[in-house]
Amino acid sequence: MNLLLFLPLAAIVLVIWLGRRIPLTGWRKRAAIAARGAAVAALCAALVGEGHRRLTEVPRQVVYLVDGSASVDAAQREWIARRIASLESQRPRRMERAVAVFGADARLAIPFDRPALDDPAAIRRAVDAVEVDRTATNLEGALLAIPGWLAEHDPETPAASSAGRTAVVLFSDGRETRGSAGGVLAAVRRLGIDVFPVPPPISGRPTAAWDQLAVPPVVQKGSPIPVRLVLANTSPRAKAAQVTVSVQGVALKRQRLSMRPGWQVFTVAVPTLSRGTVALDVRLDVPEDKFTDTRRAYTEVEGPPRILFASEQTTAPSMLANALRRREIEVAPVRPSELPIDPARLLDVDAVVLFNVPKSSISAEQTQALQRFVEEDGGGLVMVGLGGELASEVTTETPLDALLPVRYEPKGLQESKRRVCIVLLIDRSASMLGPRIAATKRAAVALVNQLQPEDLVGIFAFDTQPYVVAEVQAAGDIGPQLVEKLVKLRSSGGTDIYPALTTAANRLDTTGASLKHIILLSDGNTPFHREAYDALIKSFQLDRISVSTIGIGSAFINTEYLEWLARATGGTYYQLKNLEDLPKLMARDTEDQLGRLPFTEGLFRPTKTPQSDWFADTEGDWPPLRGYVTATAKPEARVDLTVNGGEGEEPLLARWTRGRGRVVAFTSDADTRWSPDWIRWPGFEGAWAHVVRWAMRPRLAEEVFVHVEQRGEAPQLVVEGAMSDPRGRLIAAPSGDEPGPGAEIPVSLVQTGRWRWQASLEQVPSGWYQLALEAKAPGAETGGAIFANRWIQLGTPAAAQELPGQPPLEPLLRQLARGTAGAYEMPDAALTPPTTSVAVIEPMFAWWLPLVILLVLTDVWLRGPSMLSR
Amino acid sequence: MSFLSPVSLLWLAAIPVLVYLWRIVSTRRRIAVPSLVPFESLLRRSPTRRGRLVVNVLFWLQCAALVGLALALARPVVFKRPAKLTLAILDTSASLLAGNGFERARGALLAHVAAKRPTEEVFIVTTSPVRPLLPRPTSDTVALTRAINGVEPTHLGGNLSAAERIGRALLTARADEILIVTDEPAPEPAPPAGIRWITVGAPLPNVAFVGLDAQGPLCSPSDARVIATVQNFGRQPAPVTVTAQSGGRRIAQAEVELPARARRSVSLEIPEGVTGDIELALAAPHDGLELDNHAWLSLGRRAARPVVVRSSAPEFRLAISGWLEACQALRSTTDDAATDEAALVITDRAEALRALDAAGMVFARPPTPRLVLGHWLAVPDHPVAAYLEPISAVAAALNLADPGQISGLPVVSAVVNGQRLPVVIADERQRRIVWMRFDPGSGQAPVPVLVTFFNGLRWLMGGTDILTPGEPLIVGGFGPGPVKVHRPNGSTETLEATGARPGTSGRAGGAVRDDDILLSGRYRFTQGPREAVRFVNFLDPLESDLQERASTWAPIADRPASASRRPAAHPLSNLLILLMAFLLLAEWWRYSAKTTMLRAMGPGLGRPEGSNARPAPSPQPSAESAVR
Repeated sequence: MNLLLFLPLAAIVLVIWLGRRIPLTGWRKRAAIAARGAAVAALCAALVGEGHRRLTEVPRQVVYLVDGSASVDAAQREWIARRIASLESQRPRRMERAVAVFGADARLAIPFDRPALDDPAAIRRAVDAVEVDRTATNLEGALLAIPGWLAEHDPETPAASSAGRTAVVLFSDGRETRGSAGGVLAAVRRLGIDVFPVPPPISGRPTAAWDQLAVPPVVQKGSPIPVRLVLANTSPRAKAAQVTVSVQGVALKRQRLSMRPGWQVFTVAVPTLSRGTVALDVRLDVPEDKFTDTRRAYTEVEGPPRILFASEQTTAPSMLANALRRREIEVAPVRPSELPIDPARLLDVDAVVLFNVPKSSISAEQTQALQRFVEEDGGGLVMVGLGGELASEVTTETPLDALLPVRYEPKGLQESKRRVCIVLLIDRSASMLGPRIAATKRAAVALVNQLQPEDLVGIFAFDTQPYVVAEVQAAGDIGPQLVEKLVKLRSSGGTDIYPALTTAANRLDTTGASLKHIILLSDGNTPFHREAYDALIKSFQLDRISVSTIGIGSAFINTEYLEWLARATGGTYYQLKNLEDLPKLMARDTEDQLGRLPFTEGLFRPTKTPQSDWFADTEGDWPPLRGYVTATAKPEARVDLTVNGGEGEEPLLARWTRGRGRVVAFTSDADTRWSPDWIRWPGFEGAWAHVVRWAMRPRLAEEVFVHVEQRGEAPQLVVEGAMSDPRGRLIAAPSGDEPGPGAEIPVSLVQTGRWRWQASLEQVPSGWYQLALEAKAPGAETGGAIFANRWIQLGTPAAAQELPGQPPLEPLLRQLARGTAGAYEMPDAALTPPTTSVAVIEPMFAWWLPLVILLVLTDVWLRGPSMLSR
Repeated sequence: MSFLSPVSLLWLAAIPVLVYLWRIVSTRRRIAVPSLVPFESLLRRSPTRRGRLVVNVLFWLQCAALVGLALALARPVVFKRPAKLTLAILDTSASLLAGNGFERARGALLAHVAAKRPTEEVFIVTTSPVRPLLPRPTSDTVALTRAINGVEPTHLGGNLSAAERIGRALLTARADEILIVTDEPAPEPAPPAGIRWITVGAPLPNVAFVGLDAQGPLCSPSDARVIATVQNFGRQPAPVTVTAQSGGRRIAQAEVELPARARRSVSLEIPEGVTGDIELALAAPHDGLELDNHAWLSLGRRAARPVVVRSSAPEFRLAISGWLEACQALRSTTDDAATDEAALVITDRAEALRALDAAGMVFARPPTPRLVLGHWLAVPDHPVAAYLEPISAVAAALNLADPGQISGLPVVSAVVNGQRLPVVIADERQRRIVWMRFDPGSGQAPVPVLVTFFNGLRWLMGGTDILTPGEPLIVGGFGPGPVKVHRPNGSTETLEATGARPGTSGRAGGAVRDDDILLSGRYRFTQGPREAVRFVNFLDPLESDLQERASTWAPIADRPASASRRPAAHPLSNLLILLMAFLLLAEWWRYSAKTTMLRAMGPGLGRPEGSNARPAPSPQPSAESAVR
């Protein structure tokens, strides 16, 4: 329970409880308790109670808000001062007035008071004397500063509802360069402020003015973008001007114009270079007036699908990229390092193809962007082959693995391309006495026999130090001498595994083998120095040496040590149950090591799986492949093509849906190394175009109308088109002040008609926004989403700079008037009526506290002489 | 220290009254001395006035209480630099109505206020609508607590970024800390230092109305069906029952099984003859928010207004009638007498528009129709200019005469021969009028001309039937004077109808505008016998999605504050009132401790009943003092 609500109850109970003992009797006692109880209750009510809300007629206030920015010149300020003085002559004296000046900030020039300001010179002096930052026009800040001035002026009566209490006569050209007055209009209206904009007349010499810039929201690729400018020349003669249109700082078009007197519309046609969003920087120069202004407009260029083709080889286009181009897919080649880390930059493409790219070359940020692109933005990802050093690429887990429908695993059996070296370490300490040492000898022979003749093998024994049984050499060269050497092996002495491991590692280092493996046969009871072992394990990891351990020896086998050693180096620990099993275990471990190839090579013919609904035309016609990266399909993945490299069917082409997007993985390379027959195959283009198009972001094929309507004061986003269940978010265009991707604003689209949806944009600041629209195809309640991007301009675009002599920005000024129940160019209306009815909240303690004083005095009177008792 | 209401210090005059009462007490005091009882009659003759005022600690406590109360009434403030300035953004959007979300938000903010330092100032801004709870930042804990307890969530959507931006601007000084209390999840990555985020509430399943096809096409007759869109925001499938009621009677029902996160359109067949207001309600298990389970619409209002073409020029009537024939749903006529309702009038003479007409489209035709090629510039955000390109080349028979002073918004202008002329003007100051400054009857009309005509027609018809919270509600048909608004929560407010033309009946002119539409539901406007009912629908998928709340916050670039931090006024009234409450209780306790009496001094002034205390021989000099 709230303390403030508990307080009155507790206080009254306390008064009554204490009242039992007061030195009074009869009615006086009851009256005294009542008086004191009432006094305490009234105090609590003063603290807790709401204010008294009453409707009252109060004088309105008028604020003359004067634009003090550099775009309003001295002559205009003079006109404003005269206009204020003229309005003051009509102001009812009950109304209070104040004059404020704003630029980038806002300050009061003349505080609230009633006397008329009838001297224009005095007003002008007061306006000029105010120190505001004149380098910008911040209408938003100026309008929101008014409640603060009012609260300082009249802190006594906070009004609960004060619609229309304050009239603001805004003298401004409306050329807002900072903030967004349009985005705060709803708040300004609810703060009780009505705005009556009055643009000062243009003074000074006639100049050129740029009124409007328009580009169509969507342009088809190949068609020029018509950039239209509405210009005005107030001079009686023509002026030369130049329009420059640039994209990303590169000038695409320069056009000289002759601005005749009056209003004109000029069209500059700009070629479309690529598909997606195009930000056009349009610059107008009028040398005679030293006029330069740059504005930005956005348009969406639609055209064929576009993919980002990431490959380490960008010098010569790959066969796959060329094939996709021939199938009307726009291919943008990039290096893996150039993949964007900003997901918004991926929205211009429909899919990303990683062509034989090493997973490790994709950074965590790039993977995060790809993940967002796929899962949230519905983009596609096609992983073709795998680049880099396959042994480590396959075994090293990267964030990209989570996106792929396959898990790469080293399970290739083809060995021709590698050099194997295995070192067997045999514990010959006293604990190995008898049948154990004999079993190790049999195991050693089995190992050598299992290897190919060209594979390297070495056999060492150790107690507290290592002994060479057979130096590292080709298995074919060891031959019958091995048995002789093993016969001489006797068990004796203590155990120290560390020197033996070091010796084995040194031998392995010198071989240059691609697969380096140690098999340790021991009971593991060895001195253990943590630091030394940590360093050794680190060097094993660096040199990619794996150690498999087989527990053999006394009854007390240090399984903890043996397990740790195997796990830390990527090997396997085997618990020997029967000495007879040792050769089998050795053979199994060796086979495992030999089988861990990241790829399989040979000649394999892919097979289409029965579940696949793809490639109906190419049944049984698949060209052979010469190799592939070994992998396993994830449980949720759908495998369309498999290949059998000797270990059963393995996935060649697998796909799945991740979030809103789709991912495909092809485990061969689609290049000359493993797929020369594929490249020559006539179905190559069609098959790959099919695969890539499946993964692409589906786009809204039908026409989508997106526009903003003013309904009441609130702008409404209207989306019309044949789709169902659209969802959208606005992404603000990057601004000069805040570079990088703009803020994202989710919009609440509500269906208000068969093909019509609306969303309120009441609190959204003015500016350019990209509407990222996601919808379902009409009638399709399930299935993938379809996407569309449209650019909208909300409110009036901010002016780039303070330019004097420009015509007022009428749309914004009219919007201010309309949005706040004011009137444009009708300042007289601000002065009527002189009063307004407002709901005023009066603090109740002004009533409660006098009552408490009276109750205290009554109480004192009731107590009488009893107060003097002890 | 200074006083905001120094005149209240006059209440210090209560002190002399207190002294007077104590003088009476001193006069009436009697000391019973047993040995003097035989001389009691002599004692009674002693003078009743005493020169000395006998007081004790009670007197001083009472005195302090009266002084404190008088001071509190005078509203003292001290000016001191605030220890810290906190801008608190309190989410009051509709989603907070789910569960006890808002109570938790309120509790979190109250806890912050209770734990703050005495000179720390707090400025609270609500999100829905964006407005400050108190006009200025204050350190007054009691005032802040009272304001927080008085706020309730509305049926509006909320935008934390907008609230923060406006809150910062209203503050003028730079806030040391921004506290955001919301049901939205904390943003990732974490907000920058100086922004504290408190998330309340938990993900909840919810089923909601998210769309209502109430608008329909302008030109085709509407069928007897209501189509509502419902969405299951939960992660489990939900059976949903949608019912339609009219006049308290169920007229249609549909059941649909909604998979997780799915949205469906539900079509309800409305029986023949049913017109008027219809309430839709949905029922679903595990529903987190009641607010979005209701929707209202009015049948038969659409295109109900007759269209009258009033002109003496046959070619004009022919052209307009030809265009209107495309709209089968419209009741159009060229005969004024054919309708007795307030009509939408299309005319080629401004003076032909009568006071009783509901709305008008006036064509200011050129004297000689001649096609003029020009660029039409459209105001893109006005409904009359919808679907038009912002700048397009159009050949039309424009009226090139100077229009003079125009009232209304030039929605479409034309740039012709270096001049910029208004072509279409939308005026809604009194009633909606669209001025068209071209001739409709000159051959094949270009597309922008037709688009503008039908856009204008739709706008004059009243646009859409769906109103949502936050939009102003404008209701016409009243006479000048007060109109009572009955809101959905039972409260009433009186507003003034404005815009009525003098000398006309209220039917045509007076409109009342209610800007305080914060709740969804039924709004009833009454003025004498006149009554109008409007429905406001809560349709907000972002607020209804209690499972995956979308973030409306984004970091705002920290610009330097325009004003330097000045010493702030710290009000002391509430603190004084609290102290006085304790003081009065202490004084009462002290008085109740006086368990002994001299003797019964008259009716009621006696020994407490049941008391065993001995009579006191005399007042103790140590406990009491005497003042002259």
